[in-house]
Amino acid sequence: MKKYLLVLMIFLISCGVSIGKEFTIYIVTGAKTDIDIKCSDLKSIYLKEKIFIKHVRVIPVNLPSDNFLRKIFNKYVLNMTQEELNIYWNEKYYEGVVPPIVLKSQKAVKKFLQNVEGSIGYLTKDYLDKSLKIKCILKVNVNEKDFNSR
Amino acid sequence: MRKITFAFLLFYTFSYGGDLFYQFGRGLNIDNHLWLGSYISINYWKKGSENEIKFDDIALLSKIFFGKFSLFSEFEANNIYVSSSSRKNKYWDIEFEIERIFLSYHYNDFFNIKIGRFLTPLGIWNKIHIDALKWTVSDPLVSTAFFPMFTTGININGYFPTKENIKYEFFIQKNKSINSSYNNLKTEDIIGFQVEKLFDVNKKIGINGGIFEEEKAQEEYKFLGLYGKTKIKSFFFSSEVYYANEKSKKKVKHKEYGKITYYLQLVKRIFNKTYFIFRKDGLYDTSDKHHVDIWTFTLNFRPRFNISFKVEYQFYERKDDYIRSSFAVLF
Repeated sequence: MKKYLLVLMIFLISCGVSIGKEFTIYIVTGAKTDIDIKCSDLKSIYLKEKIFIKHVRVIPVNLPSDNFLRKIFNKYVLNMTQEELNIYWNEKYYEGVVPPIVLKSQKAVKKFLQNVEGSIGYLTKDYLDKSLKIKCILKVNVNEKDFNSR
Repeated sequence: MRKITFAFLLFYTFSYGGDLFYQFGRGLNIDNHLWLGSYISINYWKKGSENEIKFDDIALLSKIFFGKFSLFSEFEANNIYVSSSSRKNKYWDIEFEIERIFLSYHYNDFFNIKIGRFLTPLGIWNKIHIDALKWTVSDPLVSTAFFPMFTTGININGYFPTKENIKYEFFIQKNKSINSSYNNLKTEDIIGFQVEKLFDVNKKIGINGGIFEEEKAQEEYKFLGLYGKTKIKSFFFSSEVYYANEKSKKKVKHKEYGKITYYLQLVKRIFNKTYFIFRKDGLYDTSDKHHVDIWTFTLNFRPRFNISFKVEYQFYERKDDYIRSSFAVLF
């Protein structure tokens, strides 16, 4: 049996199939922002299709495009490549809709969420405290390739 | 009207205090309450011994947000510089026209309303017809002869409450147009609808239709359209088909006739920043039974997401072929 498993593993590795590692992303707002956010709405919020929740204007916040967490978010939540996003936002430009604002670090995102009502961002566990409200938790299986791009 | 609106926007912009954020290609944001954008395009075409180069467009866009309301405007100067083989003189002329101006109210995901002059919310092409956004230099026949590009009236839109990812649009105009000279078909009376199923950002299908009276030719149009787009591996496909029934109000030989048109477009990235585009256009007119077939081949080089440089060859079945080129930038 062991022999077969070993052969199977060698086969999978040689085929380029990597075994996923669970990674957790916390979707948070400032403590003052009183809105419910479903994980299933994240894509439409970040694509600015959904702009109000319970009469509160939602302000999605992004990390820079080369940030590891942003890459994971784009890949597993938006499920879009940079090329697809560029085409999408070009078309939205013509309606006066622009991509979410970009802040340079998780620390900056945290500060923004604390100060601006309706703002929403994604952070790792290290940045959470009582000044933020967790709205939804995303557990994604990140593969070896994603970690290598870190 | 045009000057007052323009002056108001300039005054509002420069009197507004707040954090400024500008990104090349994504416009200027002031404190999340005001957005300003702009684009330009330069065009060249050659057909047989004729040719023309023109500085085609400069447009200024703005959007002001106040709660659930927003005010959008687009001012555009067309044909700023034209030099052609058929004209004796080259000329410069810059005069801004109102292309779009409307007030929107967002009630919820299911109900939004627009009042003013807006892009007729039909199909794929009409919503992205500017040079910086479209893949090709030329426009398909669909976009020019089946419905007016702009409507001055009311548009109600949103998602169906009971069916997720199904979007509706309803629009009506029963009044004079704002800037009536700046439209492909002139109307003061139009009603239309659209229903669209969204599967993903790159995948959707829709159906639309409407009735309008064209002022210049004095004809009543009834039209029905189908459209869709999808991405299969690295190929982007899009297509639109329209049928129109035209009834003349004048005493003419052919009082009523129909026409059908379609296009099928394929986009494929061939190098890092270069795309190859193929489009087949067709039109069949029942009044004189003539048909038009056009094959378009374009290379679109995008050194940056907001800059587009295109070169295009168009084969016409019964006319001289066209060579076209354009350069466009979103600011």
